[in-house]
Amino acid sequence: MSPTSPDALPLVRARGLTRIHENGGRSTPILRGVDFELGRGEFLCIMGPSGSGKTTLLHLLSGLDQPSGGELLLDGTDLSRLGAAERTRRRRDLIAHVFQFFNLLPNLTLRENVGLPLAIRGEDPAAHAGAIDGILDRLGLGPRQDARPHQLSGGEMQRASIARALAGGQPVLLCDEPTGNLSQKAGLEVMEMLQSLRDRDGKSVLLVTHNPRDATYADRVLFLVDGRIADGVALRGPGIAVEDVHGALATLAI
Amino acid sequence: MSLVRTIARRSLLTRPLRTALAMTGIAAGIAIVVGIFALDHNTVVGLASGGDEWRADIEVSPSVKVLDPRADLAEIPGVADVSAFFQSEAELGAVGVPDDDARPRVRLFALEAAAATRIGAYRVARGRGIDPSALEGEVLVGAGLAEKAKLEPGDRIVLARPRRAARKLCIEGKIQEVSNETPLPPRERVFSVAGILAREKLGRRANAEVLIVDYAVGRELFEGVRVGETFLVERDPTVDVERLESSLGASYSYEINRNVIVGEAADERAFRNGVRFAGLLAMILGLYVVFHTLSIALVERVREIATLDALGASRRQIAGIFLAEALVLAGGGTLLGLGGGLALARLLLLARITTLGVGHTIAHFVIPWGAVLPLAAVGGLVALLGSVYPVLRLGRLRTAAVLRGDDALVAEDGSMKGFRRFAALLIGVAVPALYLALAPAIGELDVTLAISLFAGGGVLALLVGLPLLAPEALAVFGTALTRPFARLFPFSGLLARRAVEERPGRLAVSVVGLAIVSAAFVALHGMTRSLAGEVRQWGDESLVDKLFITRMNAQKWPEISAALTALPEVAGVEHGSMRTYAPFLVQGVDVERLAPGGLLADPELRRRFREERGLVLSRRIAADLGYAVGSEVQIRTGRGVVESFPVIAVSDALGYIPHPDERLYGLIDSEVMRREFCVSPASVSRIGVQLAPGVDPDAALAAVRTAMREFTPRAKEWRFETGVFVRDYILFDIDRDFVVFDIILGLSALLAGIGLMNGHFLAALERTKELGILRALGASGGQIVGMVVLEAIVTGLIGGALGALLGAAMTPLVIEALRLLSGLDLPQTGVGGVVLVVVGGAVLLSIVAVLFPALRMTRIDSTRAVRE
Repeated sequence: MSPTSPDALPLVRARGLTRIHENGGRSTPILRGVDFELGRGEFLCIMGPSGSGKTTLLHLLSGLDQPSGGELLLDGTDLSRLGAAERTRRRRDLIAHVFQFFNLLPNLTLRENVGLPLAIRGEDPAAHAGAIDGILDRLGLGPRQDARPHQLSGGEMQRASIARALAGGQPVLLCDEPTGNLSQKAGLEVMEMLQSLRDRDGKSVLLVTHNPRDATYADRVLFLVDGRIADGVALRGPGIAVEDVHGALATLAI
Repeated sequence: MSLVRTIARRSLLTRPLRTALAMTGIAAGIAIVVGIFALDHNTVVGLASGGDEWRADIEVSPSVKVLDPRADLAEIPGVADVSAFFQSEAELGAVGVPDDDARPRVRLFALEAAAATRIGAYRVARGRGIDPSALEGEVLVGAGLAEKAKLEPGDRIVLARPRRAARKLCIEGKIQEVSNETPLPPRERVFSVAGILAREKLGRRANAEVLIVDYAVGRELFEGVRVGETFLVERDPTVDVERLESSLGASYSYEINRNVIVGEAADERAFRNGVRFAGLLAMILGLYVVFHTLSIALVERVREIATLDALGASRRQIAGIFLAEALVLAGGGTLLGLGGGLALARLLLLARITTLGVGHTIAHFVIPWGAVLPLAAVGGLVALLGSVYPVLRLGRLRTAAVLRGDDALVAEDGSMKGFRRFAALLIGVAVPALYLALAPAIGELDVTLAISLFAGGGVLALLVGLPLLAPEALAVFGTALTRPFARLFPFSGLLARRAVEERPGRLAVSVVGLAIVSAAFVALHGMTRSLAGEVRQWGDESLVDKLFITRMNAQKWPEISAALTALPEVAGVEHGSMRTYAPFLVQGVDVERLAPGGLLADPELRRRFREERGLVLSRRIAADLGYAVGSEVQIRTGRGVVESFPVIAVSDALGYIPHPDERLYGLIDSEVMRREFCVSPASVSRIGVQLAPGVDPDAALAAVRTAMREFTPRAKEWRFETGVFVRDYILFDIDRDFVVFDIILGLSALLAGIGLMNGHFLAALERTKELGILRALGASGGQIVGMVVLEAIVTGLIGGALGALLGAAMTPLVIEALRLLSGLDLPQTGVGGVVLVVVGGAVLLSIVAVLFPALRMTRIDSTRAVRE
């Protein structure tokens, strides 16, 4: 692999990324110059207290929100230079989401929710029935595929959300507190699945969480404090221990 | 399966209640409007149907003072087309056969060929129409005559004017045959048969044994023969018929084809306009229900859009989903509404309920597509716009915030406010404007009327717009109203108050739905009260001190009038069988037999009545046709000429006997009637009895009945009625005729109920978490129901009160508009105690509508709600 090959470049690179919310003439800086990279096939975790800007960062990465300053490259393209339609296209092709509140469409069955990214892309999910069956079986959702979201447990809903991300085939998976709304057991299952997406499917996973246990699944842990990545406290795996995470959090007085 | 189809289909199918209620809202609103217009169209067409008989809109005979009738008529407002016409008898012979005095006589019509085609006086079945420029005269032959005389297009015939033109005229009270003093030399002319007439219109007159020639050729043929100069006038329907009649009445005697003005008389216009106004309210209400549904579902829909956006769906895809869904809702609702409306109209017609009152039998049902389709399309289009509203705001959607679950941001980013503004604009302004453009008021629009309509529209827009634009104002009232309940029921009261405070928008739309129905009810009641007031006023003047004897076998007037006036209860009698048409009904009055005092007691008036052929006009006919004391009414007398009769008084005091409820009439001296029209007063079959002052009408009725039975045993078969009974029956009839309004309002109230029910069903979904927590904390089902019912009471109270208030404000405007449209002298009688009934009804409707959703709210799975 040559150093200039696109595959050698990180999938995501942020430099001096800022985001300021304007609200009734009052400016509230959320991100104050964030620098980080997400490599291909990397599992990166960003931790931080509530209000540190974690979710905002994810929204910038997915192009749902636009940075106030700095550079944000997604697969080599600066998202801040793209229009809304092109950002949507990049998101559709490159980014999959796993939300804290699942965001499954309540009117669709589980299977239809999983096939949604394909339908959005203009493909007939029925043509990918085998692949969807495989994903559902892999995540243990096969028997529940005709259920509607309100008939599922929290763990099942989040697994459905992961299945949806998997069906879309995008290389980057953005996870926003994916276990925040789940029991401990369900949370563990979800984290193992996310790890397997990296290991088995080569996905790049960016996880934002304030759950130290979830962070131990990552290859690298960064800490976002007051809108900046904290210097010198990053953790690097494999085998990050939950105590290390607690230690880092204590160092940062989080 | 495509994205658009999958999501749109699922969205519709998995929320069947929302889909059904939204569609029902659209359908019901459209159905009422379509029903009204289909009913109105069929009423007018059905009552106007006079078979195949053809008559011009108006046949006009000028008085001698008009020098150039054609030019004069063309200047009159309301006259669209004028053509000359006469009919006479002609002798029909074969070419080359000498006149042998045995030629058959046939009916001949002479019309201006071009005009006849324009006004559709006949249809040519075979051959072609008349060419007036042909060298040899051309004739159209009726099918019956063609068969009898074996005539075909291209044949030639001879037509001759009659040797003697005799006519029966009324000369000095006697019918006399008048002929030309010297027989005319025969004049004949050869005509070529241009075509054979179809057996319809003029072609079916005289058993289809008719001939039609061009007017100029006919005049030439009948030169020297006295034929009446008549003009066929085609009416301009945009000008009120009363204005046209008023203009014509100054110089012409005329006869209007009543079939072409069905529904256009002053009171009929008032009635039909009222029905149309009720239709507008129903449509607004239907769309309100739809917007209500959509506004409550907005947060959910915005979240759905945000998720799709996050998943990378393009705007086109998202718009496609919403559009598809909206198309199904609006399209389905429109089709259902269209079908339902036509079915409603059909059912009402079968029940003999029309837009011109109750009791008319209308056999045929036609669908006025031209009227109903655009109206249905407006309803569908507005519903469509409401359904795709979230997409219109897609560009400003803060997806990230919505995904964080921050629903408050949906409101903060203006979606909710914007939606209400959008709804207020569409429903309060665009729909009424489009409705009035597509279905303008029947009758002429002058400045005062326009101002009245504008003011009425303004009140309506205020009623619709204000609660949508400033729902917080309503919340203040709502909060205040819940306070006393909170003392009685602390839990339900507190929560109902919170719900009102925190969701003022939901309260506002429910309130407006109820307010529209309540306002319509109050305004309608005010209008009928005013109409009844006008009838009561008239009845008091012309009916209450009288008795009416009808269905009599012909009696000799001198004897029976003497027998009646001999009774102490009787002050005078009125002859009810002397009638002519002028072009309104004219009744002969025997002045000698009238009660002493009264209108004609004035010696000068009495003199003019008898010696100057003076007319006393009813107030209504004078107002409708613009006559006043001193006006001249042109009437074709029995001599066959049009003469002037002066108006000497305008009054309802004498009444009109043959039909006591008749309001459009004139009165003339019985001697003038005999002399000018050869209508004899000798025999009578209807009598009006004027009672002596202070006599009880019922006691007088008994006395008169007994006396008449003594006068003749056949009096047992006669009908005796007091004027009070007649007046009360007319008042009852007004109420009965207004049943169509009751039906529209009933359906509108149902629609408002559906809207409320829908709102509460959706609120149950929206408040799942809140209700679940309450149940988890130990709130009983009864407490939940109590909370919802309390909200409903508050909604009903505010909606009813607001509606009653605005209805009361609208009533004078509605009455004023109707007064201007109809020309009726409608009094401002206020709305009375109906406001209390309306507020009570609104509360009751509101409670009934929320009971089912409230029960459903008690069945929420609290464990799940708490977990989510």
